[in-house]
Amino acid sequence: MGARHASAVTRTGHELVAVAGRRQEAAEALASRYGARGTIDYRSVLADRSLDAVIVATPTHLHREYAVAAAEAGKHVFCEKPIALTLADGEAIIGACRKAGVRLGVGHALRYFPMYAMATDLVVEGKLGRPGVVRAARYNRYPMGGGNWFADESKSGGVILDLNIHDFDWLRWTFGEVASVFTRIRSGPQYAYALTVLRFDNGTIAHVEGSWAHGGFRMAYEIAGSGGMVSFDSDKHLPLVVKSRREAEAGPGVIIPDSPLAEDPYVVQLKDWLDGRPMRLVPEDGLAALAIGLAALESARTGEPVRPAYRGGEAG
Amino acid sequence: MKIGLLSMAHIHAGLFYAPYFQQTGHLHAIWDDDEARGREAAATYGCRFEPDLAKLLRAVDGVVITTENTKHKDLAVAAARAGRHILCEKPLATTRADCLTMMEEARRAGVILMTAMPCRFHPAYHRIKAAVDNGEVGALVGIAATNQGHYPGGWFGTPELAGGGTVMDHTVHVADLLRHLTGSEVKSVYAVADRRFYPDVPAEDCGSISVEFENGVIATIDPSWSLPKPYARPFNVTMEVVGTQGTITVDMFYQVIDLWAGGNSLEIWGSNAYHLMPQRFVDACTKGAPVVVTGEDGFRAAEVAFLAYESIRQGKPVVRGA
Repeated sequence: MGARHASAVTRTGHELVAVAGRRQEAAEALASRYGARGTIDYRSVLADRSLDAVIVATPTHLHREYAVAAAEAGKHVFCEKPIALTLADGEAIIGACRKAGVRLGVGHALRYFPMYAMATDLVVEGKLGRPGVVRAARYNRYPMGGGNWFADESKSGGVILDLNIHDFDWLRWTFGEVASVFTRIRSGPQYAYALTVLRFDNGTIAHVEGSWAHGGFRMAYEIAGSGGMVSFDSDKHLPLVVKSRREAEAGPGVIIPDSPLAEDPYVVQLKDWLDGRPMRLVPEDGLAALAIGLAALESARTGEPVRPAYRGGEAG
Repeated sequence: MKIGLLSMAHIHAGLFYAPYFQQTGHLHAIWDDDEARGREAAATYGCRFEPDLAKLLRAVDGVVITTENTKHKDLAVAAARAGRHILCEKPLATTRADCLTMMEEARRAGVILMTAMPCRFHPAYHRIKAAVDNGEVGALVGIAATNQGHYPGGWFGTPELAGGGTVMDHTVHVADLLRHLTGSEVKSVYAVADRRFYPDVPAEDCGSISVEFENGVIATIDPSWSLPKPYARPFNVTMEVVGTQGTITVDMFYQVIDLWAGGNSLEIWGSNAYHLMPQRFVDACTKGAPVVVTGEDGFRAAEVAFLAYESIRQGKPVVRGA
């Protein structure tokens, strides 16, 4: 996500000043694309008084350390999702930003994806009547690269906290607070698959499917209500597919589905945060999404339905 | 083979069984506890109407039970005691006791008891089953399945006749496929359900069911009457099958052409499982072909719905046989 955000920043009208990473070479390679400096010394970045804001795209278990340090250095903070792996870490990040008087953005980018935001609007405006039963699915390959920290559950939170959390946040945005979470997970070498049933305070039933066992990326939803139904599937609602017969790095016969937009959702998201406009979520929403994910993990462990330990506006 | 059709109450009687058995020359008589309905159907499909069940049973070799769900048991017992083979609409029955009685009576009489599960006959399902059995996707991990549909109306929303709502109606097709695909029995079931689409219908119209199999495979079933009217697809059977080395994305009845003519419909050109399934019943009765989806299979599928209702009552997962 660091590379995606670096590219997005340069399209917001703001300037990318520095990239801090674990490896000098990699940090410089990314930074040099945008005329920024690369470093392994993040403290030197935080000490740079010419710099206003910091994007934290480290492995999730390190979010607290870097986000709190950035807030204490007086920088606005954008923290990739999930906000943290524990409610205590998430609360510490929110508390540090509030104390320092800096803006905290949490990267639940799905709220900026037009096909998801449109569905939310339809529900909120009542166009689908009373929401009944909802399906959300998110599939991807088993994570590779980046030191492969995603595959380490103690660093990423696994398929629930890294992948399902997108849909948990979007569903909560659309249907309100979650009353109960029931999850079953199966994982092993090179696969993880989770099936979750959510019940919302307003009675809506949601089925959430998360997979790191697929051959490629796909996301889909279906919302059925008493007044109608809306659905999206990235495999079906696709404007173009490039099928190259050229010998390429990835081998011959590469197939690249694409759905380009004039406004990249990641850019819109960062612009809201950098320009000081209200974002589509407050930091506590990131905490509430995390709480749904933690409830899912507890349910998978105990075999029982679990109520999230933090819900919007409630103390932990 | 002479077949008696026991009631036109189920929509499949007029949609599938009566025309198919008429066309194949097997339809001998129709019995119905609604005499006007039965007489009209008999005239339509060119067979006798027989108001006396005992008389009908003496005159045929086998019956198809297409009454309301809660009436399956009494008719099946009568047919078995008359020594007649039985093809019974799903769910096999609406209680565990009724299912077991039907199975026992058929066994004692030495007659065939087959549960009407057409999906098992669908060529797309055969392909999925072969892919799993051949190891094309590695070992099975989990399956997210749906059998959503329109609300069918009529007695389907009356629990005294249907035995429940959409959970009773729509769980069993997929439950049967999942049992067959995994080669395993259900271990535990967690379910939620609600009345959210049709407030005037006194039965649940949507839900979500989470299942764990004894071999460790996890699955979910969406049995909801959630597809709106009008909508080009009145029902679906879908599965996302996840294995350790691959996945299968299934939309079983999506062999369609997209038709716009005063409205939109998706016209299915895929093989008609409602011909393949009743034909197998005839072949089983007359040629000794193996029964596909036995009474026991029908019971095990219905049991998933029974466990789902128990879980809904308790608000937590329930273990089979506990």
